[in-house]
Amino acid sequence: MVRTYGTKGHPPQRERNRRRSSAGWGALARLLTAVGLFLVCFVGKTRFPQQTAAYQQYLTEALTGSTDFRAAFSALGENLAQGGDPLEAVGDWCVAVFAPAETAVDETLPTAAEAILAEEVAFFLTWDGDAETLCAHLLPGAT
Amino acid sequence: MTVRFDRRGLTIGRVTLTADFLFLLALLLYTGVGPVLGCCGLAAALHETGHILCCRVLGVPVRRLRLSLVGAELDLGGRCRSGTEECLVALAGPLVNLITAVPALAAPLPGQLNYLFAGASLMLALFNLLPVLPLDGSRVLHGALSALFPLDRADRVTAGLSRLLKLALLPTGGWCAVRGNPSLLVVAVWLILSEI
Repeated sequence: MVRTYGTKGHPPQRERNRRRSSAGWGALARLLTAVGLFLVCFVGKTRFPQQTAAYQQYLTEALTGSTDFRAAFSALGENLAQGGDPLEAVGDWCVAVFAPAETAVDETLPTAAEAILAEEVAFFLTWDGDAETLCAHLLPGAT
Repeated sequence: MTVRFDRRGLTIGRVTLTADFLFLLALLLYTGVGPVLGCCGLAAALHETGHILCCRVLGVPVRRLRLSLVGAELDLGGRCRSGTEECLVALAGPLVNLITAVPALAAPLPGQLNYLFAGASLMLALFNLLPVLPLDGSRVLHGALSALFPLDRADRVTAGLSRLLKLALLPTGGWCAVRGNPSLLVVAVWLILSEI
């Protein structure tokens, strides 16, 4: 929405002063609220640590999720200090901080893979060391 | 040193603290991320010092340092005289972070704070080099492009690339947030908010 005031499209001085003044009061209110919250947090944390611990834990979990930022930064620094690959270290940091919580590697094998593995284990446990048997097992279609 | 309050916030000398910055500080202090906050704060202070020192050397006037919800912003008294100057000023911050991270790796501190500081410094430098407005990477890109092409084209390319990256980051962040990690979404929203 565009509003024009006066003949040249500029708001009259009185209107400009009123808006400037209300913006100043709004900013003052925001600043005082923030300073008040800061003081409440500071006093609460230093004077009543036990009472504020429960809320603190809840807020920390809400803010950081499952990410341990301190561990991620420290691991990056430690990796570099030990001469690790910088790109790999940065990649690990990105995974630790940004990757979805569900991306943990699934170490369970699918059913089909489990069956193949069991078959192979059974073959090698009973294999007599004969090369032809091995070739026939590994390359069933080969002549 | 003058202390005054106006619509910009609380100004002490040449440093302006906005209300949302104080609120963020209160929230971070309350949630007990002290060591991380301290190391990131120190790294950020060194980063801005790098920019200011470079401005001093090049004769670019620094009018004000503004600390807000979207981070620290330097208000320069005028535009850089050339693309090279803009690149140098933008690169000075990340460069100081990289330089200070190296001795931190070799100086053991209690609680492995040196590793924490080095990690924070390195990531602050790399993050700031992303070509996304208002990060330093976009200033470097803009400086380089304005040295080669007309200024309006450099403006358009920098802004376009920045928007594209933000647009790509937002759904990716949302996808990660749905799966339990909101960090990338917070970064994407922060980058979008910082340009408004």
